[in-house]
Amino acid sequence: MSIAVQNINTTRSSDGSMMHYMVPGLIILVATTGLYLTGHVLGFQQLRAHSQALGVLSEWTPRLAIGFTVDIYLTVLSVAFGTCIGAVGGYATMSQSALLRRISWWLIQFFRNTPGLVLLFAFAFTLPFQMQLGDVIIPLPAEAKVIMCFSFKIAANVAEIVRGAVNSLHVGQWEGGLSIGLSRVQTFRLVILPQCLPRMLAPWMNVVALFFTAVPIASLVGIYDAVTYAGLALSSEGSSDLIMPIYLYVLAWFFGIVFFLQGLTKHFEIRSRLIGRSTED
Amino acid sequence: MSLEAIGTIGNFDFTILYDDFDRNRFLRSIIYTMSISSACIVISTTLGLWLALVYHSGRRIPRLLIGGFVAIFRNTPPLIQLYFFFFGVGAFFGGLFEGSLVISATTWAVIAISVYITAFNIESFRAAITGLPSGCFEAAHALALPRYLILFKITIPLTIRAVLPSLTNNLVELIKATSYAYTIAVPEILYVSSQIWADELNVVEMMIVMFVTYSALIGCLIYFMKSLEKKLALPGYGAS
Repeated sequence: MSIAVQNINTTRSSDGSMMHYMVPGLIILVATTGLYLTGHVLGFQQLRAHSQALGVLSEWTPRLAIGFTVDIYLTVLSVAFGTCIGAVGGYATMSQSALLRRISWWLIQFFRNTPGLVLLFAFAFTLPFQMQLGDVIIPLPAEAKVIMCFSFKIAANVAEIVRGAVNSLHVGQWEGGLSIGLSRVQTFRLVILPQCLPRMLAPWMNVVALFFTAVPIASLVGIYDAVTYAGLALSSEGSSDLIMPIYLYVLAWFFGIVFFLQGLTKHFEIRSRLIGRSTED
Repeated sequence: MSLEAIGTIGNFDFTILYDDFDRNRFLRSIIYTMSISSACIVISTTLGLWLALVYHSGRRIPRLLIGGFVAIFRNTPPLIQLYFFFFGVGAFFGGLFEGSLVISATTWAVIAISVYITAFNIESFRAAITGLPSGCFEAAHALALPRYLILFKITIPLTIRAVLPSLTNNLVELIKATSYAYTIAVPEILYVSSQIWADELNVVEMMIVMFVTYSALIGCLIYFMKSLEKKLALPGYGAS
């Protein structure tokens, strides 16, 4: 009976399990793109007029690659900032002060339950274009606002992961740290966090992968990313037959990058499982 | 105190409180978002359950296709999916032959968001089905129940109970994803709000109103799902 109870509770999808789907996904995506392009090149009569899809795609690939580097650069910076803020936020949800716990809980709920697009607009349209601190004027370009917004979004998710990982540790670790004279912050930093890192890695990578698919919304507030370049390609080629192949192509790029990230996740997950086993024995 | 006085308190200017035109279009946008969300919830949940059952039945080709579908739509940007459906597939169907059916932006938004969330739902339902206690099926086989009865009396009811926590997450994600419809000019909350702040120059106020509205919508959904969970809970199962 106890096994059955456990079973019905472990229904949350495990995070690294996507990997065995990815290969059929890649095959389907590549096959669709391939079939579409072949259809273009071999050409049905009405498609023949615009049958240079392959040429157009290769011609625009360098520009699209610039767009992708912008996407990746936004992701990397936001994830870096967001993880740091999230670690602090995760600590705050477990702090001794009830006020701090309540505030961090509300902040996390706020950033998790607001649509990304609304949050992005809020940051992009309500923050000033420059800030003055004393005599120093700090310019706030669109990139800075976008990174700020994304950082908070990631921080909320990271804080949840940190909280979950810390809760999965035995409470004796805290007591041990405190009993040898470390402060709470020191215990967290020196005892708890190092033990949590391996178990946080897989869910953290999952958040990064999921977040990466949300980055293209930055194109709506004027960042020149892959979607912007795809739109530019479409408007300058001016052919409606190109819309599907170009968006498919961009989708395939994104899929490839996430494919790589998911592979890494799987790798880390297996490793962390091994680490967990070796410490338990 | 009149509504206008409340609306213009401090330096704020909540035009939707006292301006009939703004209020009406904002209320209509809330109804729009709610109907898009409900349509997507129905479609994505039904499709998710059905495809997860097909996946679980274990034939090789459907498994590969469904797995590939999940992988593609979970791991690519929803914004580009929406563009692909609306600008790509929509233009393709629209120009296929003269007088062919034109699918509206709202319909494409419903299709794109449903497909995106269906990928997440399949994954949740699949995990739920895999986690079902095998004793139930052994008991059903021992009673010689026919397959369709096992499906409708055991698999589906138990799956629905087990999937609710992670389904709630996906549906919250769904309501948040309806704001993507802004990009293809569907008059939902974000789009109408952007129109209002373009007319009235009250960006901050509309942002606050939007935060409150979305929180209320998502709060209602979570409350509903939690009470459903409580109502459907099996005695003796789950966290006490």
